[in-house]
Amino acid sequence: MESNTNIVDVRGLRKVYRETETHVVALDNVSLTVHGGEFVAIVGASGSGKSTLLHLLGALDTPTSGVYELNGKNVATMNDDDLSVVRRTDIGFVFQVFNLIGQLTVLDNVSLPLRYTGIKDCDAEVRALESLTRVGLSHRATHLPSQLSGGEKQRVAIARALVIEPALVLADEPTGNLDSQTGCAILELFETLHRDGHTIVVVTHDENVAKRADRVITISDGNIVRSEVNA
Amino acid sequence: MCANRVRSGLSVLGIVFGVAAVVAMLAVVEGARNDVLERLSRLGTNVLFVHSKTENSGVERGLQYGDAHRLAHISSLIDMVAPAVVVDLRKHESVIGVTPSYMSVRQLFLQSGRALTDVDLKNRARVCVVGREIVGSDGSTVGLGDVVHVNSQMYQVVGIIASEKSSKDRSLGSLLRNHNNAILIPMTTLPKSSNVVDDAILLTEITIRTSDAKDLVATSEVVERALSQGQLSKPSVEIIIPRQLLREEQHAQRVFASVVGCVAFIGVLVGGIGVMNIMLANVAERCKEIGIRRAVGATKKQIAMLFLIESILLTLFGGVGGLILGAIASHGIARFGGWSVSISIWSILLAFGTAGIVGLLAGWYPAKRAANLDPVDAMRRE
Ligand SMILES: Nc1ncnc2c1ncn2[C@@H]1O[C@H](COP(=O)(O)OP(=O)(O)O)[C@@H](O)[C@H]1O
Ligand SMILES: [Mg+2]
Repeated sequence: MESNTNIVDVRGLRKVYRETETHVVALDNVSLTVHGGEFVAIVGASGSGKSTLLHLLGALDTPTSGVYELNGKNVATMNDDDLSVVRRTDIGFVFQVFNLIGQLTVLDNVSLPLRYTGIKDCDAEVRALESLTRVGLSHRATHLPSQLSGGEKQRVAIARALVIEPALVLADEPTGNLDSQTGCAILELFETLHRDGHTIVVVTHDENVAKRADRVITISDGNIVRSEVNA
Repeated sequence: MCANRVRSGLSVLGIVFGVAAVVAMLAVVEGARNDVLERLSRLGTNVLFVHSKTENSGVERGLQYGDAHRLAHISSLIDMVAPAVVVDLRKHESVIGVTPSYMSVRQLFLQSGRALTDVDLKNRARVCVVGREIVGSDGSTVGLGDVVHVNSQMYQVVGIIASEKSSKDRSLGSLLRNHNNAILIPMTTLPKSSNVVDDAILLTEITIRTSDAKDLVATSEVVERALSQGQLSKPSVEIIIPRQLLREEQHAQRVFASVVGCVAFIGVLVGGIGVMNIMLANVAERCKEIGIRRAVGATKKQIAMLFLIESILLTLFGGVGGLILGAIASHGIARFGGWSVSISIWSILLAFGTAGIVGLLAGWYPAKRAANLDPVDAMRRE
């Protein structure tokens, strides 16, 4: 979380999806750095490759070619097990559709990443509850996701992302499934995280989100076409 | 969720029947084995019988007292030799002409009085040892010092045999005779024509005890050879090793066991396929959940374990059902089939072992499929 150190260092990143007949070049040649504590927004038309880039940054997928260093670790060439370790130790990912597990309680959803790290169950629960407190939902710990509103679900998802104290928080259109008012509340939550020193990369269509970011990166057809620093 | 439970329950039925068949099969096999051991233990596990097949006739000769004398010294394998002449009387009573070794070879014990001795044999003493159910002429059971009439001869009772558990054994019937109704008298006091020497007394059987049960077959060969080497022609006898006789009698149980074994195999196989099917459906339905778990850091191995454990729990659950059903079936077999059955700790372990291994095998492929799902792809699916 120290500023001026590169958390993310991406050079010449390329991702080609191979279908049976056609190849889809989702990312052509992307280079990008993100400093510790920075709040970056990625914007661009639908299908321009924003999600693809975020999945690569989140170690959910590997690039066809190029370099991706996260905190100095070369993620691009990692095997599947090491990618899993990166996901559960360095990355907090927030999705547009929340992606909570319906059969698990709010608390179990939030503590899920810790279950895979070998932390004791009771410690995991304490940390999950702390994380829920940060998003203001500790009183819903024993509820099921189906009992929550959309905004609450997204806050639970954010609590899950934060529970591992990630080096990098990634969010793919986190307000895309919410009405504008609820979206605002989520945005404020991200701003709070930013003030607390978290490094955040958000993909968004939302003008408001882009306005409050330190930097706005525009992607088109798999390439970064613009990078503006906000005042 | 509720529908899932019904579906899982149905899929596990094959395991239930398979494991039940395993349990029933083992119960019958184990029961048959215990049955044999129990019957053998009453005869002694280390005895064989030389049984006369004929009286003296023009062509064949019968088994004679002299044969018993010769057998006693031919091999160190032979521990003790007990010749006997059995004469059946009315009212199920039988008179048995014996030597002193008879009671120890037959594992008979005295309740009171004394056993027959070599002196009795030599002196042709008119004494007898009787079973507890022998009644005198006045209709009351006889006691020590009483006199019983055998072939119009008077014998004084010197010993009473401790009561035996009566048995109706199909294949060992004549060998496992009931001594509660027996009158044991010295061999030499049996009525015979005056010009016949003792050695020519015709025997019903010779019981031979070996020092070690594993020498039975070797001993029977030695006996066979020795009987044909005498001065006289070979007596017409059949040599019976109770253990082998019983082993043959277990044939029905063995056939049953192999049929049920096949049922068990098919049940377990079908059950395994059912469980694999249900687990594949499970993986397909929980695709999104798998993606989410992977996204928050679960390794492939951790995902695989999730489904393997579920599969094994499912079949172990089926194993419990199978065990209960198998126990009920075994009980039914014992009740209506008349076979002895026994469920040992080993068959319980085997039942659970089978169930667990089926769970492991049936869950393997679905678990592998789950583990190999692409996280992003899996999360997108509904
Ligand atoms: N798994 C995939 N297989 C094939 N093509 C894909 C896959 N994921 C994304 N794409 C394609 O890659 C391009 C970029 O997609 P995406 O990164 O999702 O765009 P965005 O998030 O900016 O809308 C699109 O043309 C999309 O169709
Ligand atoms: Mg997208």
